[in-house]
Amino acid sequence: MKFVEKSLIISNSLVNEFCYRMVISSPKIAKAANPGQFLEIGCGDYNYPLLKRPISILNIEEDLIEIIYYVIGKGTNMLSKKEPGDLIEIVGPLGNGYSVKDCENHILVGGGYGAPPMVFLANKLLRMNINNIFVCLGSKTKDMILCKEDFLDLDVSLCLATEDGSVGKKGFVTDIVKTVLDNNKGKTAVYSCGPTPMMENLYKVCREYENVLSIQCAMESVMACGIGVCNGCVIKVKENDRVIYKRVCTEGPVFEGAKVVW
Amino acid sequence: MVTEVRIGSLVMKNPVTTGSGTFGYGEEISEFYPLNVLGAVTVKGTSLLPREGNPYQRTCETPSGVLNAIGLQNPGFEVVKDVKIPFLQKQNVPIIINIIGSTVEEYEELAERFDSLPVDAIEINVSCPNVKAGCMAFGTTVEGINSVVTSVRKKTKKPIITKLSPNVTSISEMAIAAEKAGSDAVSLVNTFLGTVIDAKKRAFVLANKTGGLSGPCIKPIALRMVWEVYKAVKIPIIGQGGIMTGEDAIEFIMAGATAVSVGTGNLVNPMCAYNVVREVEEFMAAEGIDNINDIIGCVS
Repeated sequence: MKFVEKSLIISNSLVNEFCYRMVISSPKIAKAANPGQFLEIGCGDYNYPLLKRPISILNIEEDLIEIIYYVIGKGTNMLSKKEPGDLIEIVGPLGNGYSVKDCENHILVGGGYGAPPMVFLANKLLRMNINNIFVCLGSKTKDMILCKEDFLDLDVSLCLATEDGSVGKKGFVTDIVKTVLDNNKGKTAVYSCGPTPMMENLYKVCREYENVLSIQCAMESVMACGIGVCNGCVIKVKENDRVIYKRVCTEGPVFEGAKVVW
Repeated sequence: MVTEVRIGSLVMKNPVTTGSGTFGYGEEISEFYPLNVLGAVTVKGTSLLPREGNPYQRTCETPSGVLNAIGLQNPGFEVVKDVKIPFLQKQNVPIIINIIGSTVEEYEELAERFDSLPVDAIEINVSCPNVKAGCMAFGTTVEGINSVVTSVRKKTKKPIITKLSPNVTSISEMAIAAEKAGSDAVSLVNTFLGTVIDAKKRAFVLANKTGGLSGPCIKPIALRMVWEVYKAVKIPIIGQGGIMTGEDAIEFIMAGATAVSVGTGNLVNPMCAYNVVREVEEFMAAEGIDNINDIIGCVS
């Protein structure tokens, strides 16, 4: 079930130079949402900006939804000016989230601003009494690593990588995923969110390991409606030996890497 | 309070339908509200064979609007007949099928095939600006409209609605051509041809380079066009262009529309068309309007 819900902002604060963290009370959507699904959030007050903004879910506790958003344009800039007590209109939960696989190891990969949904997913896996969770986060610099603190309280193995080496291993997130795979030989599922080039690289690295049974990637795309009616946000996907367009907002955002035409 | 309107033999319990291409085939929006709240559902443009649509990037937001070049992606006649229409039938709401063709023969063939199916009206799309062949190429000349509408008329007794393009010198001339060729109604407007450029990349934003502009930014122009057409033809008009609220819908009706379509509003808020139905009734109650038909074209 999907809802359009007027939601109360509980808090809205700066995380780093570019990102805000917001807590919203949205009881109906909170109850229905799964990791990897997203919200369409109204940022303006009247007809500007017109369209809602697709934003992933960081975590859910009871009626409260937590998000992290990157201030990238006019819409998210207006969202960053909202204050506790303000109401915003949210549509959700939208799209298909991650499907939890019956595997021994679960590797959660967040590249840059793709880290938030991994917090929600890690919490879900832990509630399902799943152990052997490896969280690999990567970004350009230390300041741009998101959600590190959210994982410190959780029973997961956390590995970091930065391109400038300011925290964790110097290099790409795929380098640390490779190390995890080299050291853990059981059946493995990989769940990822991040920039498309990072996920493409991740998919190509992981498919070399026979024990990796699933590489799920949350794809990004410019959306208009977010609910599947406009057919705008398509990507090319392989299906029955054919290449067809699928909607990121409806058939995705999470796709098996093997299906995506990279 | 009477909200019922008629488009030829199509009876709508209220004047609100949906803009083709902003509502799919109703499946997604039915997760938000029961579709029989609406006067009718107008579905995605449907071709004989499936169409994969244009390459990505297909949409771009503009000030109070959306530019799109989807390219009429649709599953084709067979899937619509076997899957989409049975779904819509269960929703118990009048169905307006929107048909698209690259040639006059394709429109004719689709009209013949849909004539035997449980759809309540056929909307002829001669106004999509985002495909290479057909559609808007027909809708921007009197001859083009005449040939498509005349051919479709021969193949169906169902109400025909001709959807007009605003990308013409005189939309009234196009409406008159549709009326003369046997169209039961006209719907207007489709999107305005436009483009958006990414200055830093020195490139067009849409893969198709140009797209169709819709949303509140086009409303004043659409409203003026509805009024012009109202003065030019006798057949009913379905007005559309940036309707977001009940009051927007009322303005179109006062300009001369018998019914209205909510289009881009569905992309902004899945509940938009539902809200418009409710707000039209609230407006009528507040203003003491007993019958919606009494205010059609009342500003003229």
